Amino acid sequence: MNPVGSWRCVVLVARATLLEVSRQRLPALLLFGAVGGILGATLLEDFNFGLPPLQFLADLGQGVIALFGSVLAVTGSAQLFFGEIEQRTVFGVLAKPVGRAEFVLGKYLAVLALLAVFSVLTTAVLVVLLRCRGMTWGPDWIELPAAERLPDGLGLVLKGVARWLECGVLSACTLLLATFSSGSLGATLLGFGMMAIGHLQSLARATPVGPDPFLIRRVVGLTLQALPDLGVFNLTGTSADSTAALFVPLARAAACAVLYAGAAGALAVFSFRRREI
Amino acid sequence: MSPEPALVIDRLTKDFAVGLRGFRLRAVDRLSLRIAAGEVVGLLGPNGAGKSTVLKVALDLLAPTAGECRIFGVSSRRREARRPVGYLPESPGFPRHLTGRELVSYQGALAGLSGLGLRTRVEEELARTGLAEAGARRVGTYSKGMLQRLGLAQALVHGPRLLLLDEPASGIDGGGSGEMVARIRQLKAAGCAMLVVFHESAQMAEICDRVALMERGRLVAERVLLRPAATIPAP
Repeated sequence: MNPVGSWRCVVLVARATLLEVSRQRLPALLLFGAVGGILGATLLEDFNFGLPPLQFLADLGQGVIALFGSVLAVTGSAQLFFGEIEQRTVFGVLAKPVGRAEFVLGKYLAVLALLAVFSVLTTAVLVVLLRCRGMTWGPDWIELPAAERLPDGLGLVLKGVARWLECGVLSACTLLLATFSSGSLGATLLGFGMMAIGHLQSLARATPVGPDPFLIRRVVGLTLQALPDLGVFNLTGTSADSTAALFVPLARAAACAVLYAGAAGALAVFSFRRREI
Repeated sequence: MSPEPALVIDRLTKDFAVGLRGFRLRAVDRLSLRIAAGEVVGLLGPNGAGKSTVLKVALDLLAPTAGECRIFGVSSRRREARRPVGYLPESPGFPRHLTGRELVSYQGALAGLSGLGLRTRVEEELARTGLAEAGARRVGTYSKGMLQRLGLAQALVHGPRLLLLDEPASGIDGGGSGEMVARIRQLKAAGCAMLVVFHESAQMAEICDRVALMERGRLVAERVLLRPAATIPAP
Protein backbone atom coordinates (compact mmCIF):
# COMPACT_ATOMS: atom_id res chain seq x y z
CA MET A 1 0.00 0.00 0.00
CA ASN A 2 1.32 3.45 -0.90
CA PRO A 3 0.91 5.68 2.20
CA VAL A 4 1.08 8.89 0.14
CA GLY A 5 -1.63 7.61 -2.21
CA SER A 6 -3.72 6.44 0.75
CA TRP A 7 -3.46 9.78 2.52
CA ARG A 8 -4.33 11.55 -0.75
CA CYS A 9 -7.51 9.44 -1.02
CA VAL A 10 -8.43 10.23 2.61
CA VAL A 11 -8.02 13.96 1.96
CA LEU A 12 -9.99 13.76 -1.32
CA VAL A 13 -12.90 11.94 0.36
CA ALA A 14 -12.82 14.41 3.28
CA ARG A 15 -12.70 17.44 0.97
CA ALA A 16 -15.62 16.26 -1.18
CA THR A 17 -17.63 15.38 1.93
CA LEU A 18 -16.96 18.77 3.49
CA LEU A 19 -17.93 20.52 0.27
CA GLU A 20 -21.14 18.49 0.14
CA VAL A 21 -22.04 19.04 3.79
CA SER A 22 -21.28 22.77 3.65
CA ARG A 23 -24.18 23.08 1.20
CA GLN A 24 -26.64 21.08 3.29
CA ARG A 25 -29.23 22.67 5.53
CA LEU A 26 -28.87 20.66 8.75
CA PRO A 27 -25.37 21.82 9.78
CA ALA A 28 -26.32 25.43 9.03
CA LEU A 29 -29.54 25.06 11.05
CA LEU A 30 -27.64 23.61 14.01
CA LEU A 31 -25.07 26.40 13.81
CA PHE A 32 -27.76 29.09 13.73
CA GLY A 33 -29.62 27.27 16.52
CA ALA A 34 -26.51 27.27 18.70
CA VAL A 35 -25.73 30.94 18.02
CA GLY A 36 -29.38 31.80 18.70
CA GLY A 37 -29.23 29.83 21.95
CA ILE A 38 -26.04 31.63 23.09
CA LEU A 39 -27.46 35.06 22.29
CA GLY A 40 -30.87 34.08 23.71
CA ALA A 41 -29.22 33.24 27.04
CA THR A 42 -29.07 36.98 27.72
CA LEU A 43 -32.87 36.96 27.93
CA LEU A 44 -32.68 34.45 30.78
CA GLU A 45 -30.17 36.36 32.89
CA ASP A 46 -32.79 37.07 35.56
CA PHE A 47 -33.09 33.33 36.25
CA ASN A 48 -29.44 32.98 37.27
CA PHE A 49 -29.94 30.94 40.48
CA GLY A 50 -27.72 33.36 42.35
CA LEU A 51 -24.73 32.96 40.02
CA PRO A 52 -22.85 36.02 38.80
CA PRO A 53 -24.44 37.04 35.46
CA LEU A 54 -21.19 36.45 33.57
CA GLN A 55 -20.82 32.94 35.00
CA PHE A 56 -24.47 32.16 34.25
CA LEU A 57 -24.13 33.28 30.64
CA ALA A 58 -20.90 31.31 30.23
CA ASP A 59 -22.42 28.12 31.68
CA LEU A 60 -25.58 28.38 29.62
CA GLY A 61 -23.63 29.23 26.46
CA GLN A 62 -21.30 26.26 26.90
CA GLY A 63 -24.29 24.01 27.55
CA VAL A 64 -25.87 25.15 24.29
CA ILE A 65 -22.60 24.55 22.39
CA ALA A 66 -22.27 21.08 23.92
CA LEU A 67 -25.87 20.14 23.09
CA PHE A 68 -25.88 21.36 19.48
CA GLY A 69 -22.34 20.09 18.94
CA SER A 70 -23.31 16.61 20.11
CA VAL A 71 -26.38 16.59 17.87
CA LEU A 72 -24.20 17.67 14.93
CA ALA A 73 -21.61 14.98 15.73
CA VAL A 74 -24.18 12.18 15.87
CA THR A 75 -26.48 13.19 13.00
CA GLY A 76 -23.61 14.39 10.83
CA SER A 77 -21.61 11.18 11.21
CA ALA A 78 -24.61 8.89 10.73
CA GLN A 79 -25.94 10.74 7.71
CA LEU A 80 -22.65 11.47 6.00
CA PHE A 81 -21.62 7.87 6.23
CA PHE A 82 -24.88 6.00 5.88
CA GLY A 83 -26.30 8.45 3.36
CA GLU A 84 -23.56 7.27 0.97
CA ILE A 85 -24.76 3.69 1.31
CA GLU A 86 -28.48 4.46 1.19
CA GLN A 87 -28.13 6.72 -1.86
CA ARG A 88 -25.61 4.31 -3.39
CA THR A 89 -23.07 7.06 -3.93
CA VAL A 90 -20.52 4.83 -2.22
CA PHE A 91 -20.33 2.59 -5.30
CA GLY A 92 -18.74 5.33 -7.38
CA VAL A 93 -16.06 5.96 -4.75
CA LEU A 94 -15.19 2.37 -3.88
CA ALA A 95 -15.15 1.34 -7.55
CA LYS A 96 -12.07 3.56 -7.82
CA PRO A 97 -8.77 2.44 -6.26
CA VAL A 98 -9.88 3.62 -2.83
CA GLY A 99 -9.66 1.38 0.24
CA ARG A 100 -12.53 1.13 2.68
CA ALA A 101 -10.27 2.32 5.51
CA GLU A 102 -9.53 5.47 3.51
CA PHE A 103 -13.23 6.01 2.90
CA VAL A 104 -14.07 5.74 6.62
CA LEU A 105 -11.12 7.93 7.64
CA GLY A 106 -12.03 10.51 5.01
CA LYS A 107 -15.58 10.69 6.32
CA TYR A 108 -14.31 11.01 9.89
CA LEU A 109 -11.85 13.73 8.95
CA ALA A 110 -14.69 15.66 7.27
CA VAL A 111 -16.88 15.42 10.37
CA LEU A 112 -13.97 16.53 12.58
CA ALA A 113 -13.37 19.54 10.34
CA LEU A 114 -17.08 20.37 10.38
CA LEU A 115 -17.15 20.14 14.16
CA ALA A 116 -14.03 22.31 14.37
CA VAL A 117 -15.72 25.03 12.30
CA PHE A 118 -18.83 24.74 14.50
CA SER A 119 -16.80 24.91 17.73
CA VAL A 120 -14.69 27.87 16.60
CA LEU A 121 -17.70 29.91 15.43
CA THR A 122 -19.91 29.22 18.47
CA THR A 123 -17.08 29.71 20.98
CA ALA A 124 -16.16 32.97 19.25
CA VAL A 125 -19.75 34.19 19.56
CA LEU A 126 -19.79 33.27 23.26
CA VAL A 127 -16.44 34.93 23.95
CA VAL A 128 -17.46 38.12 22.12
CA LEU A 129 -20.78 38.20 23.99
CA LEU A 130 -19.10 37.81 27.37
CA ARG A 131 -16.37 40.27 26.42
CA CYS A 132 -19.09 42.84 25.72
CA ARG A 133 -20.36 42.13 29.22
CA GLY A 134 -16.99 42.84 30.76
CA MET A 135 -15.18 39.49 30.66
CA THR A 136 -11.39 39.64 30.73
CA TRP A 137 -9.18 37.77 28.27
CA GLY A 138 -6.90 36.33 30.95
CA PRO A 139 -7.58 34.93 34.43
CA ASP A 140 -7.87 38.07 36.56
CA TRP A 141 -9.75 36.19 39.26
CA ILE A 142 -6.90 34.08 40.67
CA GLU A 143 -6.88 35.98 43.93
CA LEU A 144 -10.62 35.53 44.39
CA PRO A 145 -12.25 32.68 46.35
CA ALA A 146 -13.46 29.80 44.12
CA ALA A 147 -17.13 30.79 44.45
CA GLU A 148 -16.45 34.29 43.14
CA ARG A 149 -14.25 33.37 40.18
CA LEU A 150 -15.48 34.47 36.80
CA PRO A 151 -14.99 33.00 33.34
CA ASP A 152 -12.20 34.34 31.13
CA GLY A 153 -11.53 34.19 27.41
CA LEU A 154 -8.69 31.69 27.50
CA GLY A 155 -10.61 29.34 29.81
CA LEU A 156 -13.60 29.38 27.47
CA VAL A 157 -11.39 28.58 24.49
CA LEU A 158 -9.80 25.63 26.31
CA LYS A 159 -13.23 24.34 27.32
CA GLY A 160 -14.31 24.74 23.70
CA VAL A 161 -11.39 22.56 22.61
CA ALA A 162 -12.46 19.92 25.16
CA ARG A 163 -16.01 19.98 23.76
CA TRP A 164 -14.65 19.53 20.25
CA LEU A 165 -12.66 16.50 21.43
CA GLU A 166 -15.83 15.11 23.03
CA CYS A 167 -17.75 15.56 19.80
CA GLY A 168 -14.90 13.85 17.94
CA VAL A 169 -15.19 10.78 20.19
CA LEU A 170 -18.96 10.78 19.79
CA SER A 171 -18.56 11.02 16.03
CA ALA A 172 -16.11 8.08 15.94
CA CYS A 173 -18.50 5.97 18.05
CA THR A 174 -21.43 6.87 15.76
CA LEU A 175 -19.35 5.96 12.69
CA LEU A 176 -18.61 2.60 14.29
CA LEU A 177 -22.32 2.04 14.97
CA ALA A 178 -23.18 3.13 11.41
CA THR A 179 -20.83 0.54 9.87
CA PHE A 180 -22.99 -2.32 11.06
CA SER A 181 -26.33 -0.56 11.43
CA SER A 182 -29.12 -1.28 8.94
CA GLY A 183 -30.20 2.34 8.46
CA SER A 184 -29.20 5.94 9.19
CA LEU A 185 -32.09 6.32 11.66
CA GLY A 186 -30.87 3.32 13.64
CA ALA A 187 -27.29 4.62 13.58
CA THR A 188 -28.48 8.05 14.76
CA LEU A 189 -30.54 6.59 17.61
CA LEU A 190 -27.67 4.33 18.66
CA GLY A 191 -25.36 7.35 18.53
CA PHE A 192 -27.63 9.29 20.87
CA GLY A 193 -27.78 6.21 23.11
CA MET A 194 -23.99 6.19 23.20
CA MET A 195 -24.03 9.89 24.07
CA ALA A 196 -26.41 9.27 27.01
CA ILE A 197 -24.31 6.34 28.26
CA GLY A 198 -21.13 8.37 27.91
CA HIS A 199 -22.52 11.21 30.01
CA LEU A 200 -23.81 8.82 32.67
CA GLN A 201 -20.51 6.94 32.89
CA SER A 202 -19.06 8.95 35.77
CA LEU A 203 -22.28 8.40 37.71
CA ALA A 204 -22.29 4.67 36.94
CA ARG A 205 -18.63 4.27 37.88
CA ALA A 206 -19.23 6.03 41.16
CA THR A 207 -22.19 3.77 41.99
CA PRO A 208 -21.00 0.84 44.08
CA VAL A 209 -21.83 -2.55 42.55
CA GLY A 210 -22.59 -5.28 45.06
CA PRO A 211 -19.84 -7.81 45.66
CA ASP A 212 -21.99 -10.69 44.44
CA PRO A 213 -22.35 -12.25 42.05
CA PHE A 214 -18.72 -11.81 41.03
CA LEU A 215 -19.34 -12.42 37.30
CA ILE A 216 -21.93 -9.66 36.99
CA ARG A 217 -19.64 -7.28 38.82
CA ARG A 218 -16.82 -8.08 36.43
CA VAL A 219 -19.04 -7.79 33.33
CA VAL A 220 -20.45 -4.44 34.48
CA GLY A 221 -16.96 -3.21 35.33
CA LEU A 222 -15.49 -4.22 31.96
CA THR A 223 -18.43 -2.72 30.05
CA LEU A 224 -18.00 0.58 31.87
CA GLN A 225 -14.29 0.56 31.09
CA ALA A 226 -14.89 -0.17 27.39
CA LEU A 227 -17.42 2.61 26.81
CA PRO A 228 -16.18 6.20 26.64
CA ASP A 229 -16.62 8.44 29.66
CA LEU A 230 -17.68 11.77 28.17
CA GLY A 231 -17.49 13.41 31.58
CA VAL A 232 -13.72 13.60 31.04
CA PHE A 233 -14.32 16.32 28.46
CA ASN A 234 -16.38 18.54 30.74
CA LEU A 235 -13.93 21.05 32.18
CA THR A 236 -16.66 23.39 33.40
CA GLY A 237 -16.54 22.22 36.99
CA THR A 238 -12.78 21.84 37.06
CA SER A 239 -11.26 23.70 39.96
CA ALA A 240 -7.99 25.25 38.95
CA ASP A 241 -5.81 27.86 40.56
CA SER A 242 -5.29 29.41 37.15
CA THR A 243 -6.45 29.01 33.59
CA ALA A 244 -3.06 27.49 32.83
CA ALA A 245 -3.97 24.68 35.22
CA LEU A 246 -6.85 23.80 32.88
CA PHE A 247 -4.23 22.43 30.50
CA VAL A 248 -3.78 19.37 32.73
CA PRO A 249 -7.38 18.09 32.46
CA LEU A 250 -7.37 19.20 28.81
CA ALA A 251 -4.30 17.06 28.14
CA ARG A 252 -6.02 14.16 29.89
CA ALA A 253 -9.13 14.74 27.77
CA ALA A 254 -6.99 14.82 24.60
CA ALA A 255 -5.32 11.52 25.53
CA CYS A 256 -8.73 9.93 26.19
CA ALA A 257 -10.05 11.31 22.89
CA VAL A 258 -7.14 9.80 20.93
CA LEU A 259 -7.62 6.46 22.70
CA TYR A 260 -11.39 6.24 22.31
CA ALA A 261 -11.56 7.70 18.79
CA GLY A 262 -8.64 5.51 17.69
CA ALA A 263 -10.28 2.36 19.03
CA ALA A 264 -13.72 3.23 17.61
CA GLY A 265 -12.16 4.21 14.27
CA ALA A 266 -10.18 0.97 14.02
CA LEU A 267 -13.29 -1.08 14.82
CA ALA A 268 -15.30 0.95 12.29
CA VAL A 269 -12.74 0.18 9.57
CA PHE A 270 -12.72 -3.51 10.52
CA SER A 271 -16.52 -3.65 10.49
CA PHE A 272 -16.87 -1.73 7.19
CA ARG A 273 -14.31 -3.93 5.46
CA ARG A 274 -16.50 -6.94 6.19
CA ARG A 275 -19.73 -5.22 5.24
CA GLU A 276 -21.38 -6.10 1.93
CA ILE A 277 -22.79 -3.03 0.25
CA MET B 1 -2.62 -3.97 -26.37
CA SER B 2 -2.11 -5.88 -23.12
CA PRO B 3 -1.71 -9.66 -23.60
CA GLU B 4 -3.48 -10.27 -20.28
CA PRO B 5 -7.24 -10.78 -20.50
CA ALA B 6 -9.10 -7.70 -19.30
CA LEU B 7 -11.26 -9.73 -16.94
CA VAL B 8 -11.16 -13.34 -15.86
CA ILE B 9 -13.97 -14.64 -13.68
CA ASP B 10 -13.02 -18.05 -12.41
CA ARG B 11 -15.66 -20.37 -10.87
CA LEU B 12 -17.18 -17.46 -9.01
CA THR B 13 -19.76 -18.27 -6.34
CA LYS B 14 -21.55 -15.70 -4.23
CA ASP B 15 -23.93 -16.53 -1.38
CA PHE B 16 -25.93 -14.02 0.63
CA ALA B 17 -27.06 -14.69 4.19
CA VAL B 18 -30.79 -14.08 4.44
CA GLY B 19 -32.68 -13.65 7.71
CA LEU B 20 -31.60 -14.30 11.26
CA ARG B 21 -31.37 -18.05 10.72
CA GLY B 22 -28.52 -17.52 8.28
CA PHE B 23 -30.27 -19.06 5.26
CA ARG B 24 -27.88 -18.91 2.31
CA LEU B 25 -29.17 -17.55 -0.98
CA ARG B 26 -26.89 -18.38 -3.89
CA ALA B 27 -26.79 -15.37 -6.23
CA VAL B 28 -23.92 -16.55 -8.43
CA ASP B 29 -23.07 -20.19 -8.90
CA ARG B 30 -19.63 -21.29 -10.20
CA LEU B 31 -19.62 -18.73 -12.99
CA SER B 32 -16.61 -18.55 -15.29
CA LEU B 33 -16.16 -15.90 -17.93
CA ARG B 34 -13.20 -14.43 -19.77
CA ILE B 35 -13.07 -11.06 -21.52
CA ALA B 36 -10.12 -10.34 -23.77
CA ALA B 37 -8.62 -6.86 -23.98
CA GLY B 38 -10.75 -4.77 -26.33
CA GLU B 39 -13.62 -7.28 -26.33
CA VAL B 40 -17.22 -6.32 -25.53
CA VAL B 41 -19.26 -8.96 -23.74
CA GLY B 42 -22.93 -8.57 -22.93
CA LEU B 43 -24.45 -10.16 -19.86
CA LEU B 44 -28.11 -10.94 -20.29
CA GLY B 45 -30.63 -12.52 -17.98
CA PRO B 46 -33.87 -12.02 -16.07
CA ASN B 47 -34.12 -9.97 -12.88
CA GLY B 48 -32.39 -11.73 -9.99
CA ALA B 49 -30.14 -13.76 -12.27
CA GLY B 50 -27.04 -12.38 -10.50
CA LYS B 51 -25.73 -10.07 -13.25
CA SER B 52 -25.19 -7.01 -11.05
CA THR B 53 -23.69 -9.19 -8.34
CA VAL B 54 -21.02 -10.36 -10.78
CA LEU B 55 -20.03 -6.76 -11.48
CA LYS B 56 -19.94 -5.91 -7.77
CA VAL B 57 -17.74 -8.90 -6.96
CA ALA B 58 -15.42 -7.94 -9.82
CA LEU B 59 -15.07 -4.51 -8.18
CA ASP B 60 -14.65 -5.96 -4.67
CA LEU B 61 -17.82 -4.23 -3.51
CA LEU B 62 -18.88 -7.75 -2.52
CA ALA B 63 -16.55 -10.51 -1.35
CA PRO B 64 -16.79 -13.78 -3.29
CA THR B 65 -17.86 -16.88 -1.39
CA ALA B 66 -15.66 -18.99 -3.66
CA GLY B 67 -13.70 -18.46 -6.85
CA GLU B 68 -12.03 -15.26 -7.92
CA CYS B 69 -11.88 -12.41 -10.42
CA ARG B 70 -8.72 -11.04 -12.01
CA ILE B 71 -8.48 -7.72 -13.79
CA PHE B 72 -5.55 -7.56 -16.22
CA GLY B 73 -3.96 -10.34 -14.18
CA VAL B 74 -4.43 -8.69 -10.78
CA SER B 75 -6.81 -10.17 -8.20
CA SER B 76 -9.87 -7.98 -7.85
CA ARG B 77 -9.45 -8.14 -4.06
CA ARG B 78 -6.48 -5.79 -4.48
CA ARG B 79 -7.41 -2.19 -4.97
CA GLU B 80 -4.71 -1.69 -7.62
CA ALA B 81 -6.86 -3.90 -9.80
CA ARG B 82 -9.53 -1.17 -9.93
CA ARG B 83 -7.20 1.49 -11.31
CA PRO B 84 -7.85 0.67 -15.02
CA VAL B 85 -11.58 0.07 -14.44
CA GLY B 86 -14.56 2.33 -15.01
CA TYR B 87 -17.91 1.45 -13.46
CA LEU B 88 -21.38 2.72 -14.19
CA PRO B 89 -23.85 1.30 -11.65
CA GLU B 90 -27.51 0.79 -12.43
CA SER B 91 -29.44 3.97 -11.56
CA PRO B 92 -26.32 5.66 -10.20
CA GLY B 93 -26.60 7.85 -7.11
CA PHE B 94 -24.38 10.89 -6.68
CA PRO B 95 -23.91 13.50 -3.95
CA ARG B 96 -26.76 15.95 -4.65
CA HIS B 97 -24.99 19.09 -3.51
CA LEU B 98 -21.87 18.78 -5.64
CA THR B 99 -21.89 20.20 -9.16
CA GLY B 100 -21.44 17.82 -12.09
CA ARG B 101 -17.96 19.23 -12.71
CA GLU B 102 -16.95 18.83 -9.06
CA LEU B 103 -18.17 15.25 -9.05
CA VAL B 104 -16.31 14.18 -12.20
CA SER B 105 -13.21 15.99 -10.95
CA TYR B 106 -13.48 14.20 -7.58
CA GLN B 107 -13.80 10.80 -9.27
CA GLY B 108 -10.86 11.55 -11.56
CA ALA B 109 -8.71 12.57 -8.60
CA LEU B 110 -9.62 9.37 -6.77
CA ALA B 111 -8.46 7.45 -9.83
CA GLY B 112 -5.07 9.16 -9.60
CA LEU B 113 -5.36 12.15 -11.95
CA SER B 114 -4.27 15.59 -10.83
CA GLY B 115 -3.47 19.11 -12.00
CA LEU B 116 -3.90 20.15 -15.61
CA GLY B 117 -4.35 16.55 -16.76
CA LEU B 118 -7.34 16.16 -14.46
CA ARG B 119 -8.94 19.45 -15.52
CA THR B 120 -8.48 18.63 -19.20
CA ARG B 121 -9.98 15.15 -18.84
CA VAL B 122 -12.94 16.49 -16.85
CA GLU B 123 -13.78 19.07 -19.51
CA GLU B 124 -13.34 16.51 -22.30
CA GLU B 125 -15.68 14.00 -20.70
CA LEU B 126 -18.28 16.61 -19.79
CA ALA B 127 -18.22 17.83 -23.39
CA ARG B 128 -18.49 14.30 -24.83
CA THR B 129 -21.46 13.48 -22.63
CA GLY B 130 -23.15 16.79 -23.43
CA LEU B 131 -22.85 18.13 -19.89
CA ALA B 132 -20.35 20.95 -20.47
CA GLU B 133 -22.90 23.65 -19.65
CA ALA B 134 -24.80 21.69 -17.00
CA GLY B 135 -21.49 20.89 -15.28
CA ALA B 136 -21.80 24.06 -13.20
CA ARG B 137 -25.18 22.96 -11.82
CA ARG B 138 -25.68 20.84 -8.74
CA VAL B 139 -26.30 17.15 -9.37
CA GLY B 140 -29.60 17.34 -7.45
CA THR B 141 -31.08 19.36 -10.32
CA TYR B 142 -30.19 16.78 -13.02
CA SER B 143 -32.76 14.69 -14.88
CA LYS B 144 -32.56 10.90 -14.97
CA GLY B 145 -30.92 10.94 -18.39
CA MET B 146 -28.38 13.56 -17.31
CA LEU B 147 -27.51 11.49 -14.26
CA GLN B 148 -26.87 8.49 -16.49
CA ARG B 149 -24.59 10.57 -18.71
CA LEU B 150 -22.85 11.97 -15.66
CA GLY B 151 -22.36 8.39 -14.48
CA LEU B 152 -20.68 7.58 -17.77
CA ALA B 153 -18.49 10.69 -17.55
CA GLN B 154 -17.25 9.77 -14.05
CA ALA B 155 -16.63 6.18 -15.19
CA LEU B 156 -14.55 7.34 -18.16
CA VAL B 157 -12.70 10.35 -16.76
CA HIS B 158 -9.49 8.42 -16.01
CA GLY B 159 -9.42 6.64 -19.38
CA PRO B 160 -10.18 3.08 -18.22
CA ARG B 161 -9.17 0.00 -20.21
CA LEU B 162 -12.06 -2.05 -18.81
CA LEU B 163 -15.60 -0.78 -18.41
CA LEU B 164 -18.26 -2.45 -16.30
CA LEU B 165 -21.64 -1.04 -17.26
CA ASP B 166 -24.78 -2.05 -15.40
CA GLU B 167 -27.77 -1.38 -17.64
CA PRO B 168 -26.30 1.83 -19.07
CA ALA B 169 -29.47 2.77 -20.96
CA SER B 170 -31.77 2.08 -18.00
CA GLY B 171 -34.41 4.75 -17.39
CA ILE B 172 -33.46 6.99 -20.29
CA ASP B 173 -35.57 7.69 -23.34
CA GLY B 174 -35.00 6.41 -26.89
CA GLY B 175 -32.81 9.33 -27.98
CA GLY B 176 -30.68 9.15 -24.85
CA SER B 177 -30.39 5.41 -25.21
CA GLY B 178 -29.16 5.81 -28.79
CA GLU B 179 -26.53 8.33 -27.66
CA MET B 180 -25.37 5.94 -24.98
CA VAL B 181 -25.03 3.09 -27.47
CA ALA B 182 -23.10 5.38 -29.83
CA ARG B 183 -20.71 6.33 -27.04
CA ILE B 184 -20.14 2.67 -26.16
CA ARG B 185 -19.34 1.99 -29.81
CA GLN B 186 -16.76 4.77 -29.80
CA LEU B 187 -15.14 3.28 -26.72
CA LYS B 188 -15.11 -0.14 -28.31
CA ALA B 189 -13.43 1.31 -31.39
CA ALA B 190 -10.81 2.83 -29.08
CA GLY B 191 -10.00 -0.65 -27.72
CA CYS B 192 -11.76 -0.50 -24.36
CA ALA B 193 -12.91 -3.90 -23.06
CA MET B 194 -16.42 -3.97 -21.65
CA LEU B 195 -18.76 -6.15 -19.66
CA VAL B 196 -22.21 -4.73 -20.19
CA VAL B 197 -25.36 -5.78 -18.41
CA PHE B 198 -28.19 -4.98 -20.80
CA HIS B 199 -31.91 -4.94 -20.30
CA GLU B 200 -32.73 -5.32 -23.98
CA SER B 201 -31.12 -7.94 -26.15
CA ALA B 202 -31.66 -5.75 -29.24
CA GLN B 203 -29.24 -3.10 -27.93
CA MET B 204 -26.82 -5.80 -26.92
CA ALA B 205 -26.68 -7.23 -30.43
CA GLU B 206 -25.67 -3.82 -31.78
CA ILE B 207 -22.47 -3.50 -29.79
CA CYS B 208 -21.38 -6.81 -28.30
CA ASP B 209 -18.85 -9.31 -29.67
CA ARG B 210 -20.20 -12.01 -27.43
CA VAL B 211 -23.25 -12.55 -25.25
CA ALA B 212 -23.48 -14.57 -22.03
CA LEU B 213 -26.86 -15.57 -20.68
CA MET B 214 -27.31 -15.95 -16.93
CA GLU B 215 -30.14 -17.65 -15.11
CA ARG B 216 -30.38 -18.24 -11.36
CA GLY B 217 -26.75 -17.35 -10.90
CA ARG B 218 -25.45 -19.72 -13.56
CA LEU B 219 -24.09 -19.13 -17.01
CA VAL B 220 -26.50 -21.08 -19.18
CA ALA B 221 -25.38 -20.01 -22.64
CA GLU B 222 -22.57 -18.13 -24.30
CA ARG B 223 -22.66 -17.07 -27.92
CA VAL B 224 -20.38 -15.16 -30.25
CA LEU B 225 -22.35 -12.68 -32.31
CA LEU B 226 -21.78 -13.25 -36.00
CA ARG B 227 -22.16 -9.65 -37.08
CA PRO B 228 -18.94 -7.79 -36.23
CA ALA B 229 -19.76 -4.55 -34.50
CA ALA B 230 -17.11 -2.77 -36.60
CA THR B 231 -19.32 -3.14 -39.67
CA ILE B 232 -22.19 -1.31 -38.03
CA PRO B 233 -22.23 2.26 -39.33
CA ALA B 234 -21.98 4.97 -36.73
CA PRO B 235 -25.25 6.92 -36.29
